[in-house]
Amino acid sequence: MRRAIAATAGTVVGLTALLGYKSAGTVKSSHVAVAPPSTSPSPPGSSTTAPSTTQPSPTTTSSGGTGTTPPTATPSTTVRAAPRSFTGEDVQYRYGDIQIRVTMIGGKITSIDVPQEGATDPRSQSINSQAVPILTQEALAAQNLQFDVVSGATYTSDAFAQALQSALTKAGG
Amino acid sequence: MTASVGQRGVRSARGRPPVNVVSSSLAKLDQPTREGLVAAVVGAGAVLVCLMWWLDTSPASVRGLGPWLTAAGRVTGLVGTYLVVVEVLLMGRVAWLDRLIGMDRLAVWHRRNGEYSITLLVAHAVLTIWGYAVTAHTGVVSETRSVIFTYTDMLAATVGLGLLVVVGVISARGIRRRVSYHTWYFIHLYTYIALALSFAHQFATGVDFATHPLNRALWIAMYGVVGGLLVSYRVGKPLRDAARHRLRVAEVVREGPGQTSIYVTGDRLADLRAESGQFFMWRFLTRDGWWQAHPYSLSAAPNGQWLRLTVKQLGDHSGALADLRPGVRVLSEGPYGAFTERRRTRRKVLLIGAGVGITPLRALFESLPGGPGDVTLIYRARTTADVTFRRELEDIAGARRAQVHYLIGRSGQHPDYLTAAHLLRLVPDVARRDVFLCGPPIMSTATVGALQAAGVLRRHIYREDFEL
Repeated sequence: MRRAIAATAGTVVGLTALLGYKSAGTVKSSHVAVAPPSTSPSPPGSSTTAPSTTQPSPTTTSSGGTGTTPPTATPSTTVRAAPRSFTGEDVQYRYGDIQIRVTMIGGKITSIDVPQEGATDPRSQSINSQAVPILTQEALAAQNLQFDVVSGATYTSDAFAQALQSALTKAGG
Repeated sequence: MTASVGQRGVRSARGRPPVNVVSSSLAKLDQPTREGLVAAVVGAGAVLVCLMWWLDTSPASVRGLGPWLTAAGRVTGLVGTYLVVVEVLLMGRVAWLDRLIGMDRLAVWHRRNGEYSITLLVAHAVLTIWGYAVTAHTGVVSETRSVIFTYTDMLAATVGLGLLVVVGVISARGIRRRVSYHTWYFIHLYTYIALALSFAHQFATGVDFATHPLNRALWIAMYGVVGGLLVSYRVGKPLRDAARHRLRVAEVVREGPGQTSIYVTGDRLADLRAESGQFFMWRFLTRDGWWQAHPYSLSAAPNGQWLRLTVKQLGDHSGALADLRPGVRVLSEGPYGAFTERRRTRRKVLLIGAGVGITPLRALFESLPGGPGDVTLIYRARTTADVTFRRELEDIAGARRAQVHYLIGRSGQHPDYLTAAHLLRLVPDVARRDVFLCGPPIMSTATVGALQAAGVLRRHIYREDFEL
């Protein structure tokens, strides 16, 4: 009996500490400066919008902090650093569908929008309403598809990754 | 009685079986150190499992009550599953684990780890569903229904968890005593079904595996390695031994009231490399008994011509063994047990056996090397009628000029014989001896205390419990 109590107490303390340290960690995206939102959101399917405000040079890395540029995400057409938006396919999955639009300056993703997001049931809707903002933040931070899945939203995370892949493929092609 | 059976008390002719350097140097460590070593390896595995979770999880996904609960569910699920796989391995009759720790201690670990891992998996289910319910703002009941019936592979996993809980409940000490061995044995086999049923949901819904091919590969490899060891040690080796040694009952001899010795012969017995102090899982291929295997120690030193086990009639199975006929085929798993000459580090040895625990000591008493006075046996029994092997023990004692002390009397009637003072009176140099101790766990624990009080260091006490 004493052993059982000790094991239970030890497990609860260990688990709480583990989760506590984990949740206290910093989200990677907080280090990444995201470009200010463009004045008018581009309609889905449009390819280019010329912003009037910011035009950072593609070689400037000071604002981004990370010097890495995903190879697939380099738009081949732009010479000057104008923000461009690319909308991916609408990805269907088990609990709904999701479509993603990325806006890029140079080789860098500056914003991720979700023009279309549907859920098959209220529960999935509720899960997505929490998961999608986290996923967006993580993907922006990672600047590629190597971001973590959101706990409890495996399917959504997976579909999000596919939809983002689709948008990035458009950007690359 | 066959001619060979007449040669009781003959010393084992073959030498010690060769062992590799690593396992023999590990065998020289004392029992707590060896157990600590294995426990550390198991613990390191659990840390690695937690690390896998840590690396896959973004801090943001653990914030808020719902996600926090779900994350706790993930960790308990991962560690619980890892420990259930360890659990199966502990009872997998893996030879090197047996040499390191001994089957009797493995059985104790198996019981504790079983309780713990099943509790973790129940926590995994509760926490995960609770977390989902909080996140989705739904009730726990409707959430449970939706998780079980709409998530991929979750129905099977739920059945699997249910089976594990049944196995756990039936093995709980209070209930185990009220359930027949047959029921307990068959229900234990459900563990494998439970593992199979819950396998798929980890990859369909588990975030650590669904999108991480490396984690998935490592996790499947863990199942694969343990599965391979199980098949090799629980199926492959017994079948190979059966074909090679063709064991059969040679003779059934009544030793005393309710006590029966069974002599088993076969081909190339020396190749089994059995040693005094070890036991086999015996499976007698009779119409009623073929499906169950039971552990019995060798009650005489193995001699290349026959093996002997001695059974005290306790349950329905050991009673049926008295009716065995010569010629019945026998399947054996083993030899198992680290309670052997290899443990020995000192010239002088004291053997203490109580009740049916005398059997491995009877074999050791016969075969432990040593000159006059080097080996002493203390035999604790309730009544004179309960003393088995009296003639044999006295023959051996006479032949090797060793001493046997009988302590007869029910425990609890008067201050027990096995006190430090009494031990010192019987064996004045006890503190300079290795002590081999075998008997019921309660008696053994008390005796370890008495031995330590008499000056024996814990690392010189080798203990085998009858609690498989």
